[in-house]
This record gives sequence, C-alpha cells and structure tokens, in this order.
Amino acid sequence: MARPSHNPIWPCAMIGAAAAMAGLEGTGVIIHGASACYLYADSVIPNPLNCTYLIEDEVIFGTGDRLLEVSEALLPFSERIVVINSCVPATIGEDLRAYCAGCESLFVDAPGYCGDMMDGYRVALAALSPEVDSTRDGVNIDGLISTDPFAVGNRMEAERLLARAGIPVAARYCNDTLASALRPSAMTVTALPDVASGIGQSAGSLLGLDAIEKTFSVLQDAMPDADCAPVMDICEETEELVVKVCDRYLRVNDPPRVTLFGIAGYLDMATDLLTTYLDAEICGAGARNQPQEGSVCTWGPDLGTVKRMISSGKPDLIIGSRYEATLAPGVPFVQMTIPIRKHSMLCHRPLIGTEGVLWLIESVVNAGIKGC
Amino acid sequence: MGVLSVSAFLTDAVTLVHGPDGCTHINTSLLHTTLSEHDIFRIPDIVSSGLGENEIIFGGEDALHDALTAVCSDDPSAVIVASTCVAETIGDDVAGICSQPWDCPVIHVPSSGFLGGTFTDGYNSALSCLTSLITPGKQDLNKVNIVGEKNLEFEVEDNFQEVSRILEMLGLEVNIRYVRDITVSDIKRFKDAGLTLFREDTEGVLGRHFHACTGIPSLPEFPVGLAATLAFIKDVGRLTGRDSTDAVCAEEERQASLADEFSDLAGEYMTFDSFGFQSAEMEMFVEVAEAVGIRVSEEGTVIPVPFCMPVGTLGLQRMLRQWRRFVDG
Repeated sequence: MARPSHNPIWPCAMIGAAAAMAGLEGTGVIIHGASACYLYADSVIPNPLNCTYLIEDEVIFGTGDRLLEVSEALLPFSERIVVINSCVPATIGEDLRAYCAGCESLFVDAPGYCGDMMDGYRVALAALSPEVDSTRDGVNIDGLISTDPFAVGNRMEAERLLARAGIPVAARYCNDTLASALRPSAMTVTALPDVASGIGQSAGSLLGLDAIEKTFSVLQDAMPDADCAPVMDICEETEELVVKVCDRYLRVNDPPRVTLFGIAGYLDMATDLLTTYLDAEICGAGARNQPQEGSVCTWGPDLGTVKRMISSGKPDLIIGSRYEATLAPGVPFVQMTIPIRKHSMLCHRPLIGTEGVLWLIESVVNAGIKGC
Repeated sequence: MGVLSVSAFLTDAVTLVHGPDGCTHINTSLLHTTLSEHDIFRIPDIVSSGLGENEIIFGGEDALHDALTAVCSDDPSAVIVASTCVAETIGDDVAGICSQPWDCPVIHVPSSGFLGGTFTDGYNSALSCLTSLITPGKQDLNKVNIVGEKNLEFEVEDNFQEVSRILEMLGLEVNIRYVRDITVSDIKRFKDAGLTLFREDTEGVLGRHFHACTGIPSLPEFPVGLAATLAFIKDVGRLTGRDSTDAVCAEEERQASLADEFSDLAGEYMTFDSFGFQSAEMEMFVEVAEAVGIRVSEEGTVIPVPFCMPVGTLGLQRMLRQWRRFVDG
C-alpha cells in the first residue's frame, strides 16, 4: 500500500542496483531511463555509469533502438553489458534482449517503485547469481555498497583484519572485478549486514567488537591454517583504548543523549557501543532502510519522521547526515550517512572492524568539544 | 525539477509529487545540495504519494487522493501537485483528482518528469499555474513585480540586487518576487504592480500568459550587456510613465568607469569558448571587450562563456574581474 511521506530521504531500488553492478570492474552499466535518474545516480555512485536518456518519443515508439545505440558504444569497453531498468521501461515491459549489441547482457529489473536502495542492491546480486568455486581459497567480503561513504574504508579494514589472521581475500561484493565476483569462495564475512549478499556461508559480520570476535572464532574453526589470535589481541587493545577514553569523558561530562539516523546495521552497532562504554541514553534510532529483526531501530526513511524524532528526543548529540544537521543546527553532530554536504570526506574511514569502533568513539567524544 | 525549482520557494505551500518515493528523494536531494551550495540551510516541504508496485499495476489515483487528504489536513496555504514519468505512463488522472473540492487551494502543474518536457517547461508551467492564486488589485505604477527568478542560480540574489538598484534609480520599488521566498498571500498582491519584469522569457511564453491574466505591461528579461542595460532603464521608465534621463546618465557614467577599473586589460587578446553548449551571446562579449579595449582573437586567452549571463552593469563588473583572473592565471 502506498503511504504519503514527507521528503523521502533514501534512494530507490534503481540506485542500489546500479551501485552493485557498477562496483564490479568489467561491467558496462546502462541505466535505462531518464536523465534525472542517471544524474542523481551519478552523484552518489563513484563508479562509471551510462544512460539511455529516454525521452517521450521512445516511450511511445519503443526504447530498444536507443538501448542498442548505447550498448554498441559501450561494448568495446565492457566484458558484460548490464542494463538497469528504471520505472518507465519496467512498466511498459518491452523485451529488450535483442537490443544489447548481440552480447549476452544482464538485465536487472529495478524500478524505483519496487523498493529502496538496499532492495535494489540485493536484486542486482541475485540477477548476477555467482556460483561458489569450492577450489578458491580465502574468504569473501560482502556488504560493500559504494553509495556508503564508509565502503572503501570498510573494505580496507576487512582486508587488514583478515590479513592479520593470515586469511586471503576472495571476492568482494561489490568492489571487485567481474571475473572475481562470479567465482566466490565458500565462506563470507559481512561488512554491512543490511546489504549482505547471501553468497557463500556467512561467518558473521565485522560490526563492533563482539561481532568481530565471534566472526573470527567461526573462521578459526573453519580454517585450521588461519591464526586469528592477532585479531583477538587487536580487539582487546581496542577495547582498552575505548574504555580509557570513555571513562575520561564521563569524569567531566554527563552521558550523552543521542539520536541516531542512518543504515540500520550501523545504528545497531553504534547504539551498542554508546550504551556499553558511554552509558548513553538513546533517544531514538531512525533507520533509513527497513531494520532487520532484532534491531533497535525504527524505520524512518523520510524527514517527517526525522523531525519528530529529533523534536521528541531532544538529543544533545545527533549521529546522521547533513539533513539532521540542517534540522538541528546547534546540536553537536557526527556524520555517519549520506548526504554529506558542505564537508568533504576524502580519507577512507571504516565503520567496521576495530578502526571503525575507534573512529566512532573518537568522533562522539570530540563532537561537543569547542576550541583547541 | 523545473516545477520544484518554483514551488519549493512558496514558503507556506506544500509540493506533492505523485510518484514513487525515490523520485521525490532525488528532487529533495538535488534541492538540498543546491541550496547548501548557496549557504541556504533549508529543506523545502515536499511530500511523495509513495507509489509502489501495487499502484503501478492497479492505478495510483487512490494513493494521490489519500496523500492530498493527508496534506490538506495540515492546513497549508496551498498544495502544488506535480506528477512523475511513471504516473503519466500508467495514465493516472492527476488533474481530475486535483480539481475535486479540497479544503485548501490545490494546484495541478502538468509536469510528468521526462514525459512532460524539459526543466524549463516545468518551470514555466509552475509559474503559469500559480497565477490562479492572483486576486484583483489596483495597479500602482511605483511598484514592479519580478517574475521567474532562477532560484537555483548561484547569483540569484546578486542579480536581484542589481535590478533593484536600477529600479531605485527610477524611484520604483519591488512589489513581489514571484516566486522567491514568498507566501500565497503575497501572490494575491500581484496586481498591485504597474510593471512585470521577467528574469528570462525571450520567447514570450510567460509574457503572453501573464499579460492575459493580469493586463500588466512587462519586459521580457533582466538586462544583459552595456547597451541593453541602458535600454532596459529607458524601457522601464517609459512603461511606468517616468523620465529616465538622469538614471540613464548615471548608468552611463558607471559603465564608463568600468573602462578605467579594467584599463590593465586594454590591449589583451581574448577568445570566448561556449564549450559547444552554452548560450553564448557573442555580441555582448564583443561589446564589453571593445568598451574596455580588449582585442577579440582566436589566439587570445580562452574565456569560458558563463552558464548564466551577467545581469546589469554590476554583473559585467564581476565578469570582467573573472576575465582578469583568467588573463593573470
């Protein structure tokens, strides 16, 4: 059932599908739709995208010729053409397989009305349908969606922790070559559970210290050649640092009243950290995407919900995006989701792993500090 | 987006986008980005009817009706309804739903995403449709309406200040800025003015509509270029029944001082590059170059044609400073 929403603030399925496929080097991703769909996608997805730029004539007389034109231009540079169908072509329902320059293309039906960005991401991976290569060594990393400003940092952090355990990395979803993504190994660790691929056997996630320890315990059991002890040591050292800085903070500050907004998985991790180490009072956790079962979050994909949560919670710290910073300009703020405006984020920060824990705690305790 | 670039600046109205949430999100995001770049930290009130797959299959008119009911219950001054590509494709009768009796003015602006034309078509359509809010008034030749400012243009306030300066030279004041941060009740005062100035309506699409609605004489665009600025002052004076001789003289002096300020550019060689798509009014550039003593030659420093033309003498001054930066750079 449709429900009206005030200023929806989370991208549609088409964006998630395009982000997934464009993150795989070797694909030639075509957004089959209008310029506005493409321009927005291009603003939030760092990888190359292409578009058929449909106009009214093509909707009336057929979009195939336009798709053929773009496919032919893209084919020399692509191992595989991927067509992301947006709302209008998905609705008019043409059979477009004959219009992909004679190559075996991948069609992802991801109209915006079928769900949000996370849904589109999963739809695209399901369409790609990689088959596990049991002869491939290592562990896959999934949950890397390029619209997440922490995705590259997360990938690097996951690779670092796996390397410390002596575990090679297999496929990375979706930040890899197409060839690698099509032959994953048998086991997977997840950066962000909200966009878990379902490919391979899951060893768990890397969100928060407890999750890291559990995941590496599973990996140790499954991979006798691995040595996960160094990772456990890093977790222990990280917790010591966190306890020390949080204790120092609480000696001169009251526990923060925090309202959080962003991707549900991150919010669950942050809520756990802030309540455990800073005695924080969580006034609300508004997830942009549908939270999974057991999450502390409520679904709040529109500014109407965000406004109500900020107004009722009266937080003294907000974790979220520039939307929240705009709505509550005087409240100390930590940027944890898109959109990022007026600020630049150039370095590859992780939100997963031990470095992610440290960055989040560091950001929270520094958020209210003014001056040197 | 063209519709929203107008309706989002009607501060006490709500814009309802009939389509999936993702379409409204794209527009909210682009508006927020652009306004942030202008140091305006405001998020316009835009509501989505939230079409999902069910509505795409069985029709979205009920969803629009429900959304309008919810929005009107908050008692906004007006609701502006824009439709999207997919709502147009499935053939929802948006105009029909909007024309039903509602508790507040509901204005349907034909848009329909890429099925409704370009950004400019949506922008013109919104400006035209909102004239239904204009009420009778008494024309005052001392007041001027500004219509169709480009709200997403970085220089929008600068351009307004420049036109206001010119109007003040003639003893005129701005009645309303239609539609730039005004309310629905402000629009009702539209007919209190004696002249309408359009930001850019060279093809007369808006001019014809507004003349038919209001009967107020108009000028089609803000002044661009030296001679055009002087002609603009004369035209405004003529249409408001006042002598513009002193104002023209004062502006001529201001323009002459440009040559002094930029005398270091005299003798420089320049060429203008439109990058193949900008609307390059080359005559204006040559006019300004000659006034300052710049020589136009293909071997000269390449000057990119600005996306929006400089308004008035102040705009030319800023443009010449940019040219100097290119020469020095």
